Amino acid sequence: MKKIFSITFLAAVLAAGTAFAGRSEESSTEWMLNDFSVVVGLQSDIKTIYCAGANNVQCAFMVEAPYTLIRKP
Amino acid sequence: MPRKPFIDIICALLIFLFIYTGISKLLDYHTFRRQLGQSPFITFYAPLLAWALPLGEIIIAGMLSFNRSRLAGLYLSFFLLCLFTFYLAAMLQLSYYIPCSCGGVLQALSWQAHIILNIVFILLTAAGTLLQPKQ
Repeated sequence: MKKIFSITFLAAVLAAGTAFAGRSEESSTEWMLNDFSVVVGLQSDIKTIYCAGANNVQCAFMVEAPYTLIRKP
Repeated sequence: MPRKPFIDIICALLIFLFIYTGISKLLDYHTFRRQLGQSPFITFYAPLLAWALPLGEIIIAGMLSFNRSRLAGLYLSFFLLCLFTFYLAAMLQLSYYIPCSCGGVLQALSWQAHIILNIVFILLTAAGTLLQPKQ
């Protein structure tokens, strides 16, 4: 019981930490749009303001980690 | 291979998924609610779902943490993941031009990648449910 709790507890703590850390980091993240302009903000805000629509075409990528993409139609 | 460590790993993965996405949705509540409101199927229920969904995910993660409620948590996880996948498939077929109302980095996934991720977790949950001793 103790071991099970520790594994699941570790997963929960890691997940919560990742979510909060991601949120605080995201607010100052720089994103490059398809027209090469750079905007700053939360991923969700960039998605809503500049990349409205579905997720099938790349719309912007994170300047610091270019593998992180935002997509739009 | 002993069952117990395998079930523990599956539950830990599910707990990570549900806690991460649940907290991400709550931290970004206004965006999540706005995105749900844009969905043609659930516009009317968006205010309720914007709270119920992340809280439900966190409650299920709590159920998976304890032996006594683990089986019920696995059943609920399976149901919720199937529901998400069905919703994603319906969006792909009927309303492609809608943003994903996902939590955290999952927003960056395409619809297809998201469905694949969901299917992997559904299979893991099914395996965990079958392996978990019935009380």
